[in-house]
Amino acid sequence: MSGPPIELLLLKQVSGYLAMPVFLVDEDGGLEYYNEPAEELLGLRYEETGQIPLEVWGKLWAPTDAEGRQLAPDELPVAVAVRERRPVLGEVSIRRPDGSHRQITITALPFEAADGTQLGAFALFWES
Amino acid sequence: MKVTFWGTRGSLPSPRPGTTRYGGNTSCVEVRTSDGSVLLLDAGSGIHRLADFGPGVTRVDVLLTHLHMDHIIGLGFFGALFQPELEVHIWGPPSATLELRARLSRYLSPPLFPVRLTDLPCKLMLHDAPRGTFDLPGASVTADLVCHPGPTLGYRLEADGATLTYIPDHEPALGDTGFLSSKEWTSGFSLMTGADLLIHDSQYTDEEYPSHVGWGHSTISQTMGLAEAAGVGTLAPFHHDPGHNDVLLDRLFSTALESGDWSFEFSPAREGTTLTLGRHATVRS
Amino acid sequence: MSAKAVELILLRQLLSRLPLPATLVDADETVIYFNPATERLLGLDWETMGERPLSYLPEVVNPRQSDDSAMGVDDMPLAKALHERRPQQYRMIIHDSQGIRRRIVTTAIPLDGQGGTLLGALNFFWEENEAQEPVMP
Repeated sequence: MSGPPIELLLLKQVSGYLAMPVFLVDEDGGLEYYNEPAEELLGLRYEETGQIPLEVWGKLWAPTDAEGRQLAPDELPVAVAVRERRPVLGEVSIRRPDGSHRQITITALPFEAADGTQLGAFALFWES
Repeated sequence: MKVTFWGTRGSLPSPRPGTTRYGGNTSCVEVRTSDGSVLLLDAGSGIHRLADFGPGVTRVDVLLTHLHMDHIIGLGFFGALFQPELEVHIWGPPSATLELRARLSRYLSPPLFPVRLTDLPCKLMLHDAPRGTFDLPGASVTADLVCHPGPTLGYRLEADGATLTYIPDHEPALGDTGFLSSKEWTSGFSLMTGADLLIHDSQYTDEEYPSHVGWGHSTISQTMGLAEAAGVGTLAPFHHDPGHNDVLLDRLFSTALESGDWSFEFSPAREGTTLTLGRHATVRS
Repeated sequence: MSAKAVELILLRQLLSRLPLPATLVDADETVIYFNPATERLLGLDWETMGERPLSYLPEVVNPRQSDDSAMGVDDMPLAKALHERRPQQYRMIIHDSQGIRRRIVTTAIPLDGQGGTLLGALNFFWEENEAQEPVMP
């Protein structure tokens, strides 16, 4: 059977139905997809970003930690989740394209198919 | 309840000599109830054939299952929208972030379309269809989300003692290794149970489906199984693939019918035909 | 008999394939599914247990707060996510079918459909490995 893994199809489809922001990265941390509620919180439609590498999207929202320290892309919870293949919790402050700031709480989870294929990671996040 | 198919094709309008019997226009079904009410299911290219609803019709309700182009492409050419005396209500799937007006305006605005929603002469009202049952002139409508990419509704209409279920885009088998083993866990099942007429996505053959998993559609055989399990009176396979011409569709439907001892009537949707639903029978004209 | 909401159907399909333990509860506070990863971690069998009220979970997993104090059903993250309609991140203790204590981290989220309908709640949980603290920037 050709096409994307069924787990990816299911996650994208159910994300399209939920009011919870969902953010998905591939096995290299590259941006794969985020849903409409995520667009609302991030202030940027997915169509405006597309599938871009971690080094690029990781700076788009100028994320900082609780002390105001700028976070490098590979320090972001979802990047840690995909690299270390473990769940990660975090709180991050972001700057939206309109200049406003949001404090967000994140649960980042490694994303693996039933056959063991590494698919990346996905984050559930919400305004703190 | 009179049910007329004005567009039966999925994905892409497909007018050509080999598609004239089943039709090349995309999804649009007209429902007329005995009290004269008019409800339209989707606004694919087939809707352009509906301009004059006759005297006495002052309101039309358009129930959109979702906003994929093949289901809304006809809106800009829907004559009712240009009639100042008509009240047109458009219902669509809800969104947590954008009103229906804003979502439809992505298409009905420059550069994709020269006319904006605000420019339309009719009395236009846009609604998020509530999840559950609500009353419209002529019918009681039940709407619920079904399995298809992007928020997508199925509709169940009850009027004149009959029940019609319309789920034109549907992939209930997605990721389901035990498809139909549990009705409770089958997308859309409540909408279709016991319907006198089920109009349902039947786009693919079994051979085509593996390379189209996740595209949001069903195979003919999956739909036959659904209809049987749901105890429907008549099944109208719908959303014909743009690549399937009339000859192929005849063969596919014939094969499907012969594949089992089905308890329902089988009436593949053909553009321009009307089914009349009554308490005891569904009659084609 | 009415079919489950499509969001719950899709979630169950997805969760059944993920190696991360997860539990699904509907808006009536019935546990409607836990996945094979949960079965493996806790020594439970979904087919045997079947749908149960959320209030039954304490009998199954004997939840405790992270300081080992009592945790009532309303304090459980899934219940709080449902009642408060806010996500919950928690560290807590549960017990598997052999009575073995397991320190877990859990995220429970309310499942709101796009139309504003509360559909239920979902939690993911994992064993806390003290050698690898979660990143908390």
